[in-house]
Amino acid sequence: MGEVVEKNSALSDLIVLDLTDEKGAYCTKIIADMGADVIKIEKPGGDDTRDLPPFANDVEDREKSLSFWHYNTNKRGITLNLEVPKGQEIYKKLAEKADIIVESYPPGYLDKLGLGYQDLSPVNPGLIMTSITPFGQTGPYRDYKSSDMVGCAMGGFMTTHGYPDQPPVILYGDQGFHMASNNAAIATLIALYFRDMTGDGQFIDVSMQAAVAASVEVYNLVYIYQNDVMKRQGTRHATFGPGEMGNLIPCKDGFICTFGSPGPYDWMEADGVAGKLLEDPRWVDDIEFIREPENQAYLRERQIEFAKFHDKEEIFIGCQNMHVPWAKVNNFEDMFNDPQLRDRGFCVEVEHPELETSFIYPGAPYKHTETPWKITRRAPLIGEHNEEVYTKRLGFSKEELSQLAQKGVI
Amino acid sequence: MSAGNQKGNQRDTKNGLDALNGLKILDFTWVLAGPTATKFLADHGAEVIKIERRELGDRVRTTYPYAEDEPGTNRSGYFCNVNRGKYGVTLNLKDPRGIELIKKLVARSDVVFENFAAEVMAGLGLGYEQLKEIKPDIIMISMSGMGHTGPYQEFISYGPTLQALSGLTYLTGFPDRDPVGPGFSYSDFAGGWAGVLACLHALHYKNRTGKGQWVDVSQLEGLCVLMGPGFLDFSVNKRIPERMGNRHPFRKAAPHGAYRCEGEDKWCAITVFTEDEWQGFCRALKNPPWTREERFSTMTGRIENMEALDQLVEEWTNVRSAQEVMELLQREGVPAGVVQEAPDLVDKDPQLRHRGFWVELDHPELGIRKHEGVSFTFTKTPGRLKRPAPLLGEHNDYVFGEILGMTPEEIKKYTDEEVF
Repeated sequence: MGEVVEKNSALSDLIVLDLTDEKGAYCTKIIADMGADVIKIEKPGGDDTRDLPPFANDVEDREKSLSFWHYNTNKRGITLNLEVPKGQEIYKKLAEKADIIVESYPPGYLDKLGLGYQDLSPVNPGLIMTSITPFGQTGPYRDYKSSDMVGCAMGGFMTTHGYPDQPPVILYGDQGFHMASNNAAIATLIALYFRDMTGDGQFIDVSMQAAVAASVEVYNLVYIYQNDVMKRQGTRHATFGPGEMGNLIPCKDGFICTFGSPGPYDWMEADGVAGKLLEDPRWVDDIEFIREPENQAYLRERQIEFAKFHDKEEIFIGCQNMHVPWAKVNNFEDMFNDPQLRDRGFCVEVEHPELETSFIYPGAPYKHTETPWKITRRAPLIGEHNEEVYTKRLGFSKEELSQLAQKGVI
Repeated sequence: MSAGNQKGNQRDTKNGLDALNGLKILDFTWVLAGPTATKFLADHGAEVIKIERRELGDRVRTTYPYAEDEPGTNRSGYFCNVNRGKYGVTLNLKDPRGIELIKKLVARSDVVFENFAAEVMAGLGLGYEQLKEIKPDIIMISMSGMGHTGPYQEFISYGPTLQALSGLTYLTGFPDRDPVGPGFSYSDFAGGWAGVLACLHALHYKNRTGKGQWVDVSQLEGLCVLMGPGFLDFSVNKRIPERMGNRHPFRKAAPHGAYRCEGEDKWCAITVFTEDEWQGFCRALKNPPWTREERFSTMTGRIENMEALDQLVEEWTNVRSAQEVMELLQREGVPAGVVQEAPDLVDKDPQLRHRGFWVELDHPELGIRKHEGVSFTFTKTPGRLKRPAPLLGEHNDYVFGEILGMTPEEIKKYTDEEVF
């Protein structure tokens, strides 16, 4: 596996083996989208995450899971049975030449197969191996089962979201997995810097719960510093305590987030809905005054009176032009068509040659001037790169490959 | 590896192994997203010099929560948690002498982080092109809310407004109610992760090629990428998702939600995705007759009868502590977890304690306080919280004196003349 030096790609010198499920697939996507050669190792017949909905055109087809497509861009895909000796032997050959392995099996699973970090690092001391689990490799909860919601609940992420008279609510979009994956990618790249400097690899233990518990803004701090337990308070933003900041108000065609300013008073005045807001300067900048419950209620009433005559786009652009930082509450269609995201090329087109078409994917979280983020390949089909990896890189003949397939090794 | 080994010889190892030992960061960022990015680097041994405004400092120095609810420049827990281990200096960027000192710091830095609006750094003479003249291989990470191009580049943004724009607010909440959105600024974390990842990618490229670069990070885009496969469900299937409360937006699961437990506002999350987990769930409840009812015998049936199911589950959870519910279910292999509150996390959780998650640091004004520690563990370079967050201007003498070689007299003069 000679180094493929691709110009203008940050991580193109890296070979990464990806043994993650939904907890960690975003971690390896981060790395793959910056140019690393990420080889996703799936069990023969394909990974279980291929069964995750939604599916293209709602047809349940293991090659058309949109979840799989989203999280596996730029990766190569091979099938390999890690539970049989021949499969383990092949895996070790791949691992010998890998720079990074990311896995999310239950603690101890790979060790039991003789494929843990201890087994691989003597032959490949530069290897960085990152394990992502719900609670960590050791400790009283290490064998506990998790899901996105359970990880969020246990990390203190769920208790702050929701209306006080309803149950705590989960944030949309599997954010617990995203927190675990982001932390895992950061950890892996920190270890990579150390390896660049010293040549030494190491093992990294990522806990989803701990990743979540470090991503709750002031929630833990309010307890540590003030001995208060913050409760969910609807649409209000936690940092400012009970107050007017961050409420959502309805407008003509949706909702407006009013965080950061009591309102576009001049515009409200022009509309004839400002009431007494311009009569007393305390409405402008006296937070304590505005936080008085009866004042909050009055302000909110005026805001709603203003907003009901305007649509969200008009309010958003109008307010921002007056340096009032209110924002529109976008749904997915609004976000997809957002002029800012459009102008910056956030939506990218990804070819699916086997379907003779292309689809629009979400794009980059960052724009590197020298080494741009890019998707050069859609997620792999099942075993799509078996031949390439096993014959070209490991030197198996095509005949050997078909024998391995027959025996259920690949 | 050869370039790496040469550099390795110069590493400062007297403080033990830190992954980022020797890496020098100049940090202009404020509030939470930027400081979250540089927090990861400081925890792993990078030298992070945080530039703050004279007298006022970082805006979150005056943000809740304060120790014992008593405001003060050095008393904000918000500031202290995310800025631990960084050096803090004050500098007047409106004074040309302040800019000159910045340029001297740039000359010895690897990375500059900033989260000003688009034109601010260039306006100060500190844009990427100008920094590159001082340090040709400099990496500059700009982390504005909207990014440095596009029609909204000048717009003001905060965590909650970015969440509104990303779709996250609209989609979080129960279907029978207006959106509720996140209870805090999750987007600052999304932006922070994007910022630190952008830097780490660029550092590896620099280690390989010797080249620096500028990275334009949009916190909005950093959050939008975390909306997940729903984006493709829209672009491929034209489906506009709506709020689904505690149901999973795509996966079939029932029960799936937060269930009320014994006590005041106590909850346990229970999620059952597979037949095995359902069987385990029934065993944990000791197989009450309703679990054998026809309508609950398949996942489809359980989803169709979710409301009735939720009620029955809650009858069982309601008379038990959340901890007991979790333990009974986990014993049978069911993913379940207490909706933990701060005292659970900070004082009780045996798993976080086992991992050494909470780290106490002794702060000169606040005394010994727990900090959220390094969330992942490394075998060789564990990362550590070395010092509490800087007092305002605490390291002026160290940075301007020891690092830049100014004399005590010069430092006094600059202090008196309001450069520091």
